[in-house]
Amino acid sequence: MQFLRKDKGGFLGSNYVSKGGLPVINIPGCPAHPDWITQILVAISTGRIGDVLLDDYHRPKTFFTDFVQTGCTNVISFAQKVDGGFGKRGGCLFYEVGCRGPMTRASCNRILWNRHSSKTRANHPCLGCTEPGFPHHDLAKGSIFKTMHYLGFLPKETPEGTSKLGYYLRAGFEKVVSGSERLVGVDQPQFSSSK
Amino acid sequence: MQGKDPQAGLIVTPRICGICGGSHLYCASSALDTAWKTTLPPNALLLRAIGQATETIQSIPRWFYAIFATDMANKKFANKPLYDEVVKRFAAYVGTSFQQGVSASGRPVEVYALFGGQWPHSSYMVPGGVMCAPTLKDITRAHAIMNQFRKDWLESLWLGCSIERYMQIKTWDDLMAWVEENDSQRNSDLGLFIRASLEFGLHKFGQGVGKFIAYGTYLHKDHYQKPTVEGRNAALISRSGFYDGKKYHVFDHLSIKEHVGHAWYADVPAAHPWDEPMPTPLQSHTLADSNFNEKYSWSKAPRYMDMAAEAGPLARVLMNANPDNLLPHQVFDPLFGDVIEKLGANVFTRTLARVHEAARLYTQIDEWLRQVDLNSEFYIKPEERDGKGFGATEAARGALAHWIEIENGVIKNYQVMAPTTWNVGPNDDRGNPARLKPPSKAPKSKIHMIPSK
Ligand code: SF4
Repeated sequence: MQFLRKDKGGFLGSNYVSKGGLPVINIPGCPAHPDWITQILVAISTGRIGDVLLDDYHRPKTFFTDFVQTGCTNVISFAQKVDGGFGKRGGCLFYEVGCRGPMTRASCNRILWNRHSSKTRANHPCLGCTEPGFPHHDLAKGSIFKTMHYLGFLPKETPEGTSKLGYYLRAGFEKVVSGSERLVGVDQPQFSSSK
Repeated sequence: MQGKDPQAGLIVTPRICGICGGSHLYCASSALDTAWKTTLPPNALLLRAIGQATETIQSIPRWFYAIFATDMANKKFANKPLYDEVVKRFAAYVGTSFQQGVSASGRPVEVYALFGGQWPHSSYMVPGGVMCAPTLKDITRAHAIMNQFRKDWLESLWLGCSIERYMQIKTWDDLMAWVEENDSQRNSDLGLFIRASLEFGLHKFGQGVGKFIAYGTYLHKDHYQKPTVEGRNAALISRSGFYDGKKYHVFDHLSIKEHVGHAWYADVPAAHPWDEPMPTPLQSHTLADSNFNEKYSWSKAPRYMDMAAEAGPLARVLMNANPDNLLPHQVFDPLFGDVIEKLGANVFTRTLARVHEAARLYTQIDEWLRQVDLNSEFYIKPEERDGKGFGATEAARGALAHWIEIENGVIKNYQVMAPTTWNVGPNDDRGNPARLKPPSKAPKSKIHMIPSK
């Protein structure tokens, strides 16, 4: 209502405030988690609207500050650059199948879905549905469930809060070190995922 | 989706509907399986079937209490002896069963979330299999959740007896005897629904077109490892078919055509979805300004061998009564062959068909969970290629299908046909209506139709 993708404006205009003095509060997601909607309504009805802080896209910060990666059970693999993939236990989905967890702000992995799980916990790459621009890359050829690469191996999109160069250097280092450890037979029990 | 990545349907189409997203995913992944000629491991077929079945079984209490039964509490029935009991149990929000039934409907989709990450709107079924690789605790937890659903609602509140006892019912007379067998069954929500429906006369209206279509669903784990359009019928656990009111016909998707003569699209000859051009939308009108001899709907009109047909649970259970269902993996359940003969199609039998599925779905989910082999694969990476594909299923509301054509590595044509278009689509090009006929003149007030949706 108050945004068109990333730009302020939209149907109600960028300066819109309601009679109660509030701008549009955007609860993003496709679908939005029921907790995100109901808890903001509870906050309003219990007089806590002053505590609902909004980010640049008017999303409540309490749900949309941390990344989907927070609470993902694959983060050790992310740190050590261990690839995951479909139908396979363990590993991180960032390197091959296009997980957007490090670029997407939402609390999916902290509050879980249907009380039990989340996309990345079920080996499903995050699609980034709480970020403006979803579905990303306009569903262009090669953008779905595949990590888009530069030079065939460098991920085109890097985690938020890192410079591309810094990320590539650190990631390359991790990959080489932990890869060589596996080669020479250093036991890495964190990756022998159980059934 | 023209010009997009071939897998775009896996992300876009589950979002068409908030209730049957898993069904769209079942179709989208199957359409790609047939186009890309993938190989599917048995585990993948099981986990897809579990996803489809949990979505359908959740819809039964949710639809019954939140959408259907609240209408039975309408004042219009206030002069009937069972009215007070119906209001006490089924009135919206305050009925004693309403909250319990709607809450119970959340359980089965927790199982969906264990394998798909979340419900609705997961994309976990992909060409070549499924994304997940469940562990022992996922399977045991799924059993526990389903068991809770059975204890909290299915056997206690809904049936008033064990699933096993209910599944012994084979004829209309069996069903009537079951209702009267004891107080627990008589006073269960299903018992009350049956008694009140007959008392309120719900079996006296809503006949429909008398022809039925089902695409069938649940591709058997051992019979569809090489997915093809031709091999689909034989691999189905819940059968496909077309029933013309007397005879069963083998389902062939090539016999389907869509008409746009009465839809707000530029006129083109009726065509099979693979041959349909991209539609050109025209100006729409409000109901009051619509001329029902011209264009009056956003829905196209699908026809099977040029005939209108009803899609939905009643069509599904009728296919299951086909005496040809002799193979061990095919469901054979004669009940609705008998019900249709004795009572015909109407609001009561249509609803009875839907809720009848709960017991069987429960036992199927349990069986399929037991068959998942944790030591074997869940996904086989396919090779992308150009071609045509067809994927279909039975959504909670009935026959659902996707058709895809891939050319130069991108989507050239993608067609989705939802069950509601079979049921409430407009007249076809020769003026024949679907299950719901258009009004003879524009109504002044809001149409109230007995919902199939
Ligand atoms: S990239 Fe995705 S799978 Fe990997 S740790 Fe982050 S959220 Fe989890």
